[in-house]
Amino acid sequence: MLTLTDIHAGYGRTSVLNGISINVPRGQLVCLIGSNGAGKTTTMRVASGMLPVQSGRLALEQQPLDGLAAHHVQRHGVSHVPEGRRVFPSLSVLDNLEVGAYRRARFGLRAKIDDDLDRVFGYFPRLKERRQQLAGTLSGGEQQMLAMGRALMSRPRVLLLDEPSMGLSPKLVDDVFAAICELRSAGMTMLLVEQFAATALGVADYAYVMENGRIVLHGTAQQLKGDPAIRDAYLGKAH
Amino acid sequence: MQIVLQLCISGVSLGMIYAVIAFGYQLTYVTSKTLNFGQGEALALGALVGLSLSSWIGYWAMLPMVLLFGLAQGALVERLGVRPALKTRSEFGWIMATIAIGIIGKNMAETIWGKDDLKFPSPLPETPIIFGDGLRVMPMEILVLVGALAMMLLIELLSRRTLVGKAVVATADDREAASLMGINTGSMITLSYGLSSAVAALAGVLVAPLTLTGASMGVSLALKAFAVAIIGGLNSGMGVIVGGLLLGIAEQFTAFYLSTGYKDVPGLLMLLAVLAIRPTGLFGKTVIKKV
Repeated sequence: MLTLTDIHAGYGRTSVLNGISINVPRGQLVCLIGSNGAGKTTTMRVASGMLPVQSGRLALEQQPLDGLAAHHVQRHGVSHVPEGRRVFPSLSVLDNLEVGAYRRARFGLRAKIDDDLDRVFGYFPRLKERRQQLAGTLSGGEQQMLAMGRALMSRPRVLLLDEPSMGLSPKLVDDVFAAICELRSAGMTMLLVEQFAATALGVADYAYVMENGRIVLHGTAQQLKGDPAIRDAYLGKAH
Repeated sequence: MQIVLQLCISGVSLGMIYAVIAFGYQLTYVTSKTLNFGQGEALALGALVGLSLSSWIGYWAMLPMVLLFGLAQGALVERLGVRPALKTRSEFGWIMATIAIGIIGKNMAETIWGKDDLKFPSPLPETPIIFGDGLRVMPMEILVLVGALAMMLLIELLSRRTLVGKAVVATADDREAASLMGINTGSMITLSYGLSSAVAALAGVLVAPLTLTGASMGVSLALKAFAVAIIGGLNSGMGVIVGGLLLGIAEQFTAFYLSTGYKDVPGLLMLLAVLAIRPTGLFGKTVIKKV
């Protein structure tokens, strides 16, 4: 559904991605693992149009997306939950969610937004309790839920999740992954970047391993979990 | 005692003019980290357009038209001067560009309305209202206070209650994240420039009956308002009101007790003191930028 083909991208003259190809099939959860600096976040930034490609193709189904600005890519149905959550601190929880549905809300589909709010509150009941609170005063875990809820408000066709567990306590990591699993059963197509490779492979259908801006290995999550090289490099010997 | 009150009252209406122009600086600063250094010219253009319009359609009908003119003028400044600089990531290009557009505006105004100062007819009676035992307040001073407050309140309300307003706040909070919500952040910056100039234009028509109207009328006002924005903090709405009032009142006292020649000194002293002691402004929040 979302395809990146032979993408080269970088910042200024520094190239970060050296020809990566990733395919996220409809309804599947694909995860991207690799060490720090491998280019995972850059891949996500390319996929949502935050970073323009230098060469290569980005497409959602048959629709080419490369060269489009981030706000146009979003309108085609790619929703990106960025690394570090990046909620809008001076807006309330409810306003953050409303802004997440910005495009639909602008064009008079306000009534339908209430359905989406209910759906998001269903995934993250905490947000409902805190809906009048300023997002800047939420805890890290709540901000992560808000960032995901906000992305869901646009009814995305593909959800990009960049390090959703970063900086969270183990209990909250479990909560976040529970929500990801729920989304997966609901049929959401997702691309996930995750530092906890074992947890990610536990829920993913398919996985890509990145090193130095290249895909070095890919396969079903089952295959990669059993791969000794992966075990040593990313999963830790204990697993 | 009565003279002190009298000076305060004059200071308050002048201070609100500073505050509302400074509020205009904040509007563009929060969304784009840039300022319109042609704000004084935007103010003068607003007053001159208002002067011509009010002789034609009357003072009150002129007000909304001047706001529209300001919106368009500000949007134009952003498109011509600021956007190209932001696009090429030029750190300081927008400073020169907004100054240049300001100068062009001033020259155009001089060609159309002439170089001499004009008299802006007051829409309200020009006899002071006497309060208590001889406290004199010009009706126009009250209109300045009410008009400036109403404008700031209106924009504050729009940004809290409307979806587009929230999108502007989101852009100010985190431009990149806002674009991930499908918000065209470039348009939000254009809008903030439009609003900023609309505010300046309104300040122009409000202050014009109290001063003289001409192409250069905004220069010192805009400069002092800039000081107020720094004193109050570039991201604090409360700060510009307090800063504006402080400066307006300080100027009146200096002019009365020292000399009108020293009128501009307290503002500059306040500016230096604030920069030395609290560089983020009296009410400014320190923003920790994560890299």
